[in-house]
Amino acid sequence: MTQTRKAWFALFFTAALCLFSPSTRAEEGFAPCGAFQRILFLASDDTRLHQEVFQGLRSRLPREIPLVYTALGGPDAAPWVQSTDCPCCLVVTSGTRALQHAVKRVSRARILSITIPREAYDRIMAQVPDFRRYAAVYMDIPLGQRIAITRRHLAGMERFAIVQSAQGPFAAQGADDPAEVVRLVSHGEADLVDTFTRAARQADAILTLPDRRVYNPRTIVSIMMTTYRQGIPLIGHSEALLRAGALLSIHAPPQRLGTEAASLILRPPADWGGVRRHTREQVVAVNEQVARALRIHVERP
Amino acid sequence: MALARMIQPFPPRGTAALAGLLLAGACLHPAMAQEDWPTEQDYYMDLPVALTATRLQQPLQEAPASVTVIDREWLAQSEARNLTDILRQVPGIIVGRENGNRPIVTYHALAEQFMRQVQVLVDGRSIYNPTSGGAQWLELALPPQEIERIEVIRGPNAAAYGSNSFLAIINIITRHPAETRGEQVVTRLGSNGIRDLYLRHGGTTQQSAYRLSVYHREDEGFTGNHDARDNTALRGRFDWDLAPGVTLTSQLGLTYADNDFGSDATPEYPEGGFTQDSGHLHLTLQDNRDPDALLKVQYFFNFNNLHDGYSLDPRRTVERDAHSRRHDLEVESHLQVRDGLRMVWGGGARLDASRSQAYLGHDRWVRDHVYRLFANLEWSPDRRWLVHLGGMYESNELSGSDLMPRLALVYMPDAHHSLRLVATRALRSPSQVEKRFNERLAPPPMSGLDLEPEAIQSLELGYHGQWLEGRLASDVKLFRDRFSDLIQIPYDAAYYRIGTDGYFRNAGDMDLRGIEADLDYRPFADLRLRGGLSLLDADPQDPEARRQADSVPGHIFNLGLLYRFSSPWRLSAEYYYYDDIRWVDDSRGPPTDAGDGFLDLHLRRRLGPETHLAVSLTDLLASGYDTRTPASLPPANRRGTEGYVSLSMEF
Repeated sequence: MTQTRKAWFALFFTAALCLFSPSTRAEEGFAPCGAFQRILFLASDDTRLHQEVFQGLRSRLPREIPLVYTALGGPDAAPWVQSTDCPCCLVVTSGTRALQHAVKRVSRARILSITIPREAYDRIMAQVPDFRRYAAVYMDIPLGQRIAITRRHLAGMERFAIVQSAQGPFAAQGADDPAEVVRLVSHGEADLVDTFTRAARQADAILTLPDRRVYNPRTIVSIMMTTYRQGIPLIGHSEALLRAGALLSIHAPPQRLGTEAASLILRPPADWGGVRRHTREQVVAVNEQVARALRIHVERP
Repeated sequence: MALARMIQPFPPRGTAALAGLLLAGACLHPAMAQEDWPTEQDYYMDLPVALTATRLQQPLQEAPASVTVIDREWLAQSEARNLTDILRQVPGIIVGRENGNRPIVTYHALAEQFMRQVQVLVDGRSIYNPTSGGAQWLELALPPQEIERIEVIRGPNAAAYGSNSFLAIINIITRHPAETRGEQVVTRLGSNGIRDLYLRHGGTTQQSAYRLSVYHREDEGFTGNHDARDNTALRGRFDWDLAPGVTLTSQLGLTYADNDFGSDATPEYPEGGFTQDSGHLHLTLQDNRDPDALLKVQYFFNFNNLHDGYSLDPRRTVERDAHSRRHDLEVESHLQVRDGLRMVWGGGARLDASRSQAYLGHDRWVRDHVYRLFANLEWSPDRRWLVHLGGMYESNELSGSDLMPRLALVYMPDAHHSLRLVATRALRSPSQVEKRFNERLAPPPMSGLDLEPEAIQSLELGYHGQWLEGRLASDVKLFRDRFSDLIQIPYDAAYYRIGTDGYFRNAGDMDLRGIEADLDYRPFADLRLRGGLSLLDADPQDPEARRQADSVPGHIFNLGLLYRFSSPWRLSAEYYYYDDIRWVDDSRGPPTDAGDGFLDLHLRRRLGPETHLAVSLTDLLASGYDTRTPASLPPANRRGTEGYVSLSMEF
């Protein structure tokens, strides 16, 4: 085949796939299923994070259960997704992009979404008419629960502050916040130090959010130094924040997200589509150096 | 990472098919732009470590020493041109000035122009000059804008910092470059030829942060004196995050100083000048992957070339050039051994080299090696008690091998108050010139006289407390220092070339007792006060130590204020006073005190979010002389009030 013909073929092939892609077809019937014939682990990308989640999953599933790892961007991802799209098959999506892909490309298999924040999941699923094939275990820990955990570990924590960006994903949130939470808005990196200084004056601890306009590699040193100078602890949502200088982090380690998914796979509930919950795998890690520097005693209940 | 695959994938057939599939994928899933909502990456993104064990400050309640911290808030408000001016706000610190626009900084005692008993560290790099000893303040040229905080350990702490950490340790921690992004310009113009300029550029990349700066300072020194200075420093700092929790920090600096000195009125100190080019390279690798453990490896290289000379007459020129080099490698590990037991241990090696025809008698490099091992344990049997036990073992070619231990007990009845009892021993090893001076200039039989290190044994009973919900922090200590084997320096012969019969020797013991208080008080949010008072009593144990005992003032007092009296205006004021001091290296001069004291005022107005203008008046109570009087061997420093205007802009 000449190069020109190859190019035309690719173009037609692409156009055909676009026209007849799964998302454009009607949703097929949802049949009950005793055990999964085939399980595909579909990662958003081939990074250590998703590999660790997969390892957690693999470690808890019996070897006879077929489980395949693939990641978006890899040459074998599309064929694997296609071959796993059967009624008694399961696609475990790890990450936001993996779910977006599965929503478009998987029409018959069940989908279990892990390693995904609830906010992202809800936004993606807003376009999906039939939820019955979809289950999810969110990776984030609800705000109220984080406050309760923090109080168990730190005595005397009355008020909590949250700093969020003006245009970020949490801009519209706050209406349902507990009374002890105050939200402050940062309009950019220029006012970040001032915003955290104000937050420190209004609260006993600052709870972080996964708002990358606020918390990112460019800003984190200023944030940590500001809160440290103000003597206020930062309660992080990730281990990286703990390492960077947060006093506590309340997070779910990747491997344990995988093991939690395995439990669900081994004992799938009858109401598969009704499973939408936050992870129960919470780890509270303490940065002892910071605790000491701030003279804060961390209880270990 | 190889992952088990239980089913073989369908192999794609041909490149074109693969391209088609990928293109199809792209069509089906529109380009994944950066989502606005949180994704898993927001939970697992790598972040630089901001608060490492070396960056965090030990709580003052738990510290096994009396420590004063000049924090970022104070530094940010400071309009001081010299770091040594800021140090006046540390209780017990004596700041004087030597001709040639050189600062003298000591703690309590032994004040002279080559202060060898105070250790100065910048991010763990010692700026001690191995040739003549003492901190190289001219080389430092570090503006407050780049400093995170200054911790001054008031008392010996050789167990942690090694020999020469004898009277005090000034520990300067610079700011992380991620905090100083963008450009900053600070200009300063004032009386007496004050012309300063500071330029900074800082930035970040995904895995690094950097800062580059130039700092230029010019002034005429004391009015009427021949001690103008023209100093320029280039500095760079680069922090690389090699892996999550692993950081490599590189710091580079070059300083050029061109200073005048001398006077026509002092024949031993004729008019002349010196230039000094110096620099450093400082590499630090920190592994902080486990927040509870730190492994730090650091290497630094300092160099200093002093070109110094003057003419006694047209045919006779005195040349006093000196060159020094220091290589230092250190490994340090911080461990949480178990709950309530922490340990810092490590070791290091150092090579000091000097070359000076004038001071060493030949033009060859002399080299000395130092090896050290250290360990410090901190044990907390319960929440109220802390036991610190540590020591530094040093093998030093200049002064032999020795152990410098420290034992401290800290009792904390509650979270706000603590009592401490500290016993420690420290040494000050002779400098390379001191050690070898006798070989060249001392008359027999003194020419073969070996020089031992000076020693100090210190006992301290201290209290640290926080009151008024933390708005008042206080620290009071009673102490007794016993100095022994003080090195007697033939100042006239060695410094001023009066006679040649001097020699260096160990002679004289001295007791120094006193009480010292340090207060930091915030009556309300817009006002901060800090103050210190030292009451000192020196008692020479033999006549040999009389000169050193006379160098101890009866009292030292400092008071500082920061006040934000309306939104754009801020006022800072610093007052400083010391009682009579007989400067050790000035055998002819009378004791001098601070007259009515030193009072500096700085009024600042904010012009924009990152712009401010400040007016400063220094030494408002000027009268008499600073450090040297007309009766002194070095030229007298007549005090005078100066003023300058500073403009700072950040972009």
